Amino acid sequence: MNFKYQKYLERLFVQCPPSDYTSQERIAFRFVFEPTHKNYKNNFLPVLILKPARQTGRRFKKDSSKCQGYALSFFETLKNIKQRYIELKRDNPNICEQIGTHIAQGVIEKEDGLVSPIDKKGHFSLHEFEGTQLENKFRIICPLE
Amino acid sequence: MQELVGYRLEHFPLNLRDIVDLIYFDGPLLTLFENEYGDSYLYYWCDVDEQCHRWLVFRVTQKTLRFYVTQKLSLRELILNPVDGFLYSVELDDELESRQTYLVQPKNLPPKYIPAVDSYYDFSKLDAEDTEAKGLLLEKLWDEKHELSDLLIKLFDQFPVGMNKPSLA
Repeated sequence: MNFKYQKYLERLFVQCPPSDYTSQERIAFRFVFEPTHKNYKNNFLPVLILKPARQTGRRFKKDSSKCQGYALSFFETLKNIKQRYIELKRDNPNICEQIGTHIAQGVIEKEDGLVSPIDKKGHFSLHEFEGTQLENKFRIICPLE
Repeated sequence: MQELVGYRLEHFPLNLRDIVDLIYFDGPLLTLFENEYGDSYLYYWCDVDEQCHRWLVFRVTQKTLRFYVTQKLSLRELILNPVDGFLYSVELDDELESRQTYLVQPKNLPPKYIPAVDSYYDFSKLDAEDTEAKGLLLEKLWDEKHELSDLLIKLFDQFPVGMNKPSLA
């Protein structure tokens, strides 16, 4: 099955997604903007689709990093995502303007794509399959503030 | 964007290259840069609108940077007490072109731009995907007088396998 951003992944000289990404059904939480916000339409776009110019920076110099730039960030539990927000806000009180105003919850299904292992902070990434429309599967459950 | 009181500059006067993202979540939030002489600067993300992201840019000494990453100084203290007495506010567009630059005094920063009192660093804020980050940071913070073993342990959670613990006697 092709990935949503297949044409970009094909240009990379690494295995993308990496071999430890698997097809799973999993409850997931994500930072999103509310429907009235100007960034609402970007809620489920990965960073290198939103900001292609970033590819030229040091952060995305390696193809393995570029691969990550075409994935979406999620958290495993509501507790994990709220904790991450608290940490981010401590350093950047204005962080809502960047990451989102609300938390959305949904279920990622096996046919939606491949997911990474979960890290220490409950974070994981998803490389979507072609045709996946997560905006129809996630609903806002609470504001960040 | 928040209203900002400052002195407008024609252009951003520094020529900096990025070294490592110190705080990252789906994009850099605090990034270490350096100039051609090796002086360190921090880019601190603080705001965004339809056209630009706004960053506060300020110089840090090696000592204050090391104090920050070893939790002896908070990010709030760094931003409110910049080495040069001022910060640059730089607005960058999506192509990373500078659109507006101001000199800003710390006392004029909007409250939303000032980190919390307990804004201390921990190495889990480094981007896990950026495998070079820890090495780059260590290189930047290297100082013969510093207790290198403590820094290594904090960076890697434990002393890296295969390295001899340095003697600092």
